[in-house]
Amino acid sequence: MQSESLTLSRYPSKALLLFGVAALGCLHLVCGADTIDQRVQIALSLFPRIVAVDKRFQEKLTADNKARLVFVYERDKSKAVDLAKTVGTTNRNIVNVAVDTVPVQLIDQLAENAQAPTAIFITELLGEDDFKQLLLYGINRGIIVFSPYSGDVERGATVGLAITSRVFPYFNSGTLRASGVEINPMLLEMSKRYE
Amino acid sequence: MNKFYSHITNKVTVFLVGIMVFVLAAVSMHWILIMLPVIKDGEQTKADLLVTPYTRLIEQSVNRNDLAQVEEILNHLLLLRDSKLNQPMVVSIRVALVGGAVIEKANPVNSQYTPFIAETPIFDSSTSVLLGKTNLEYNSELYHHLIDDAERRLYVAMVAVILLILVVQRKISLLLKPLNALAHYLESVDLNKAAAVPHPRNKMAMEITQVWQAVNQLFSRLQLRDEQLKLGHEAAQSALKQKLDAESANMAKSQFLANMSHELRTPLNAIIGYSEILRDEMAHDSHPHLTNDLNKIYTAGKNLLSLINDVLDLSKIEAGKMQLFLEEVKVNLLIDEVLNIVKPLAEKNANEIELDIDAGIGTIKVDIMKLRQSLLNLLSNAVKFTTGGKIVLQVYREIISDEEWIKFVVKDTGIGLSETQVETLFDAFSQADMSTTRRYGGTGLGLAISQKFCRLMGGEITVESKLGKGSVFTIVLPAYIKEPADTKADQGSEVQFVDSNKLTRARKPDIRKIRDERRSKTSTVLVIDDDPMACELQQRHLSKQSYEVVCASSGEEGIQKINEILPEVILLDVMLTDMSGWQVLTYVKSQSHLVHIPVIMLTMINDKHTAYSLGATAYLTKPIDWDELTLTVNKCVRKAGQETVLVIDDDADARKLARLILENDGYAVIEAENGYLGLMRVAERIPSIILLDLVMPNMNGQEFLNELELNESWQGIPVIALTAMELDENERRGLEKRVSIIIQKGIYSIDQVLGAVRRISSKNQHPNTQNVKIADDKSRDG
Repeated sequence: MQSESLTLSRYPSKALLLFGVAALGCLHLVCGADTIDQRVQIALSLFPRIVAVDKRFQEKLTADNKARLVFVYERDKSKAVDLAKTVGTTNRNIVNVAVDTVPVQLIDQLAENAQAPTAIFITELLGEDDFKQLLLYGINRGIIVFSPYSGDVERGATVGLAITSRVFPYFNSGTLRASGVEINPMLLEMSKRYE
Repeated sequence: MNKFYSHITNKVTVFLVGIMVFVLAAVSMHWILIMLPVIKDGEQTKADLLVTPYTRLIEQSVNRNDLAQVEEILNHLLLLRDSKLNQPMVVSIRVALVGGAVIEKANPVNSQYTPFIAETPIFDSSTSVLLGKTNLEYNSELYHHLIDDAERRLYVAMVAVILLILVVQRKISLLLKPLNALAHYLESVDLNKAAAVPHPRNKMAMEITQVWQAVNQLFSRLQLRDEQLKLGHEAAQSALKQKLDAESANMAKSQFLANMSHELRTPLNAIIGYSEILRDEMAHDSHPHLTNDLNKIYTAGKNLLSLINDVLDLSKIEAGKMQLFLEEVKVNLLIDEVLNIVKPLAEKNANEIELDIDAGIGTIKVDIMKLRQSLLNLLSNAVKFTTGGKIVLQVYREIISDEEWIKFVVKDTGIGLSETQVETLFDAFSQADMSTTRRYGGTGLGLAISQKFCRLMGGEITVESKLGKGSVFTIVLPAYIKEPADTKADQGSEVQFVDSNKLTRARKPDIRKIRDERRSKTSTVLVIDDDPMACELQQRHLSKQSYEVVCASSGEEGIQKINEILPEVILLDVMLTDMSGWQVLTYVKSQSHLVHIPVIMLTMINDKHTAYSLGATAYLTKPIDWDELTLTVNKCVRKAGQETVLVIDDDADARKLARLILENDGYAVIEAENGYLGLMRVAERIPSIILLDLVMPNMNGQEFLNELELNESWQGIPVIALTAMELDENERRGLEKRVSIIIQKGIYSIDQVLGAVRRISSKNQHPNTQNVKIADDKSRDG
């Protein structure tokens, strides 16, 4: 270590470069976190609207005729709770159907006896295996799996966000076909699709 | 130069065009790949950003079902204008509701370009139900305006770069123009005249000016060098002229010396000759005091003659007229002969001579006279400069560079030489110092002549010496010197042949009459010499030997007398007043009635080679050794009753041995080294017996026998054939028909030869060979 310090002190430009790289790394982490939060916030307003344009929305209601919107989490329950609460507050009903927003741990949701949801919102980045299990679950149930995280639509989520100069709904055509989810064509035309 | 000019300009142009193409390509790529998408995205973003907030307003109005408000919002949008282009930003806006209602507004924009499209959904804010969508067409004129503007700038940049290239080309041309002018000047410059580069222009690049100045300096240096060369050339011309003058003077000197030597030797021969005769006569008349004085005259004359001979030799060598007479000789015989001469002088100085030589040293082919003279010079120097010491003569063969050489090393323990003395030792007329000359005598020519002789033979003399510790002289020669290619040419150029028409005008004599007259007389010797004193001396000496001597003082007189008297022997000098002795010799040997007469050359010049090649029988040099002269004339003129044996053999030693044995047994011996010369000797005088070697160059034994059989008068001469070949029965039988006896060459062959000669001699019915010939002549005439 001593020799490294000596080396760095002998070469101030190198030290400066290392410092710059470290600072940029931190900034990226911070900005990245901010970006994720912003995407989640935008997604919260879009998620109920996407659920509403599902042509078979009425068939996916709960027994008590409610739209059950599940906020799946793996580790961060509080975040899931916050998100569910926010959506539940701003969207009392969808297409005149009462909305029930519930945070559910992934493992619970995947269990045999878990209650079928109308649509699923992923609240945190999931590992590959967990994501695949959840995706398979959504396809089998014919329900929308919404993920606000960048890259999730490409790896199979039914819908997500495409953000350029505007925010677009971003559909995975393959997952739509596999799960049998039908979206209003007017919206589908105005959205981006991953083929 | 034009090439050079184009080359640079082209290079620069190509370079600049290359840069321009590269920059344009880079800019174009940047524009197409980066800037156009960015601008396009920017315009699309503008459309998106415009439609989103207005859609929220429309959404609220639709939720309230207030379509008038929707139209107001659409009108508001249509009024928006781009300040730069002063055109409406929105081409059209359309609100389509799920229920089928459509509200659309448009601006009258006449654009050829497709507008940017921005669409966004309209939701019910409380139930999230999709109500419809908003579609906005954004004016793309601005976007195309930006593109066109960028393209225009690109074209302007291209034109600017092309102009820049042209300007650079022009500038380079201007820069190179002085160089071009300089090149043209250099192409046409006349180097034989003083040249200077024209003055440089004021406006020239520094580097060009430097080139200009450098060329100017080069011209100055060239002129300087030319002047130096001219001076050098003049000096060389002058030196060459001096050299040629010196060579010419040297040639003149050599010629003068040769002439003077002859002029000096002519009276000197008379002095030596008369003093010798007087000395002999005084001795008989008992005048011892006069004999002593005459001895001094005789010795002084001999010494002076020796000096003149040396000078003549040197002048001949320098004039390039010295020729080699190459013979094969046994080395031990030559060494014995040389040592026999030197031994008395060595004993006089109490010196011991030691010989170190291999018994089987064999033969060498050299000019014997020159080698003998060189060895005598070294040995006589060694014994002269050594007193009470030892002189060693080593002789051995050595192979150097695949060639066989022979070395003669003469070591002495005498006074030796310093380094300075060694340096000038071989220079003509130089001795160690003047005191040496005074003390030891000599002319200082001996070593110079010896060195030149050795070099003439392709060898060298070297010396190693230390002052006071003796000297080592070494002669190294090729063991077999090759015949010089131009010997015959030289000989031909020196020998002028006689005009046979002029000479044959002499009346042919009545041979029978002359011989009849002479039968009762003694033999006649004709002396042809332009020096009357030499004639008189020879006449006086030979008269004492019972010869009748006739003198002729010129070549023409000599030829006339030869034809008149048909002498038994001719004594012929070479240097005559009207013609050369060679011409007389050639004439004698070309006439059938004279060819048999033996000619003895008696001269001061040393040209044995020419003499023998023209047919001389013997060669003697002046001053005359009287005993040798008597012996030689006696050999040529055989006395009545003495039998003559002609020995024909190419081996000189074999001939010598035969001569020794036969002369001891009382026979006269004539020698010939091949069949051709043998025939000449037979023509001169028919021998009693011929001893014939069968294997010889020029004309071999068989050919000789063929020629012998053609002449009737020669057919009876008994021939003893010697052969080293093994003959088969047929060959022996054939040969026995032609010869009297066949002897196989071997250890005891010489005894067999002597026995055979004795047998034939006792049987020989011919009393005298000369008589036989005359008898034959008679019978033929008769």
